[in-house]
Amino acid sequence: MSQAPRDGVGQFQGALDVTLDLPLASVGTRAMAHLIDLAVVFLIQILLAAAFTLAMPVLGDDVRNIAIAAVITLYFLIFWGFFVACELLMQGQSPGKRVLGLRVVGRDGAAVDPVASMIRNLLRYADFLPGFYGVGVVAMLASARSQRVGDLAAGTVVVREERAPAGGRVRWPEVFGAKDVALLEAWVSRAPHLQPEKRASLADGLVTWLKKDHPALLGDITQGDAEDALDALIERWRE
Amino acid sequence: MSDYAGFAARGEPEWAALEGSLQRAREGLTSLDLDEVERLAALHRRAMSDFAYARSHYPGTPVVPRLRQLAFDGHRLLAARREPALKRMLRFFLVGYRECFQSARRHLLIALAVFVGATALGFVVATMQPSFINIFFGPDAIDGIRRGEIWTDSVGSVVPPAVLSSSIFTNNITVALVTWAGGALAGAFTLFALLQNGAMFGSVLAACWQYEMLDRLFAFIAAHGPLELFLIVVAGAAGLMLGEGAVAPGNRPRAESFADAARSSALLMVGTVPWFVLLGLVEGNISPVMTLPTSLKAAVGAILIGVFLAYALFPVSTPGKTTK
Repeated sequence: MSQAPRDGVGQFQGALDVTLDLPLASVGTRAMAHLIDLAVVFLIQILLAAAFTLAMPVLGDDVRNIAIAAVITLYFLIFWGFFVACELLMQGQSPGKRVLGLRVVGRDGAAVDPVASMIRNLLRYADFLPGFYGVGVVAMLASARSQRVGDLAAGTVVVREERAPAGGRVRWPEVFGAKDVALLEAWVSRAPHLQPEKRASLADGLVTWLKKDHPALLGDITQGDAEDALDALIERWRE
Repeated sequence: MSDYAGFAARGEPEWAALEGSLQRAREGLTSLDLDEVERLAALHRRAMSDFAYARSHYPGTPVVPRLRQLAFDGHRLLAARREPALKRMLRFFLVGYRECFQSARRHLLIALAVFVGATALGFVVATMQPSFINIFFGPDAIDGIRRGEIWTDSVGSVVPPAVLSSSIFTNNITVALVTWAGGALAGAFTLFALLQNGAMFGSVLAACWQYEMLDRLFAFIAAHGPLELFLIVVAGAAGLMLGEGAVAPGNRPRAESFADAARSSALLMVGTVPWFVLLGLVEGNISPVMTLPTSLKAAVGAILIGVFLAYALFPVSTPGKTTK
């Protein structure tokens, strides 16, 4: 990360000196991911306790003591080691991070290494102080790369990966240039969030443009509401 | 066909091939043969260059996020440093930890001074004002001491050694981790933990001295106490190192100084973990056995701390480059 940091973007120097810029995870998304992880940890602990309770009556006295010792040790390992184990086995992810498409990477954008993972997760305690990640949230809001204290110490950042939209990719006709595609992509991603009047007027504009420049593409769907026509057209191109 | 569509059509087969290679590599680089790794690296470089081109020529189009993800996945995989974990761990305990320990001399001495000072202070204050110990212990434990009982008498007879050992070492490692991690807050919490532990130990000494139970206290702590207290001091030294990295970066960027301090201090801290486990076994199996002579326990204690110090302080011979 040699460039001056841009807010909200993690930059890494990749092969051929190309800068990789990835959106950083926001505090809210990370909190959500953490809640999912806590639920997973809780579930593991409950299952462990249940298994132990069921096994207790069957075990002899000596074995029982060893079993109690093993459960104490396992709880300890889960408490301090769950995130490190996840990040090393799932290449910088944990169950919650995978669900939300987040990933921990080292300062050079490479996969997080064991020592860095250990540092950021053991220092969770400092981030948690004085309660409910008070220090961590302030650090994330204050730092340029949205890092909590553990991230600053380990030199790691949490990035957001881009995934294909839920409806699948659209295969745009080959006559469209890059600007046309960018325009229509913006329509697809933003239309659901626009106000109805705004959406209708934009759809109108897009259909007028298509009628004028690409009449062949429209084919039979030239009549009726512009918005419906546009939706039908895009649906046809969806993979 | 537009310029953009041509770019996407030309690139597609290579991008798909890279996607496939990355998918296979996710199962472990070792499952790929050398040819495939080289092919993957070549495809990755092409994707990097395509990404840079697309980002500036076709912004907003779907190939940009797709190529960015491909470039990122490839970069993460190819830039990773992989070394067998076991070999790394072995080297750390044989060499790395000792280097860490020896370069932390200043922090160790400060932490030791703080702890010993707090112990002395706790002893003096608790001797002059016996109610001082109430800060650390509940009324039951204190009443017990007045009646001539010590809480350590009941520990060994009630709890089986295996359970005692595991709960002791998990608790001690947690105390050590928290003492270190708290150092991230400018070292403040580490200092607090050292002072608190020292004052507590000092006040226990004072109370046992007043009620003439020092011999029984020593009988309990002689085997595990010396090294255990010292390891808490080591954790404190790690916390101070971490705090110093955050507060006093010198003429380096603060982020860099903090990250360096975090790495060395984390290693200094983590190297104590196996010793805590060993101490847990001693504390669960040897310390509570009051029939063993105190001299034997003291010998065990001396050997434990002696072995640790000999290991940690034995000069590291590093021909040429230092390893970390």
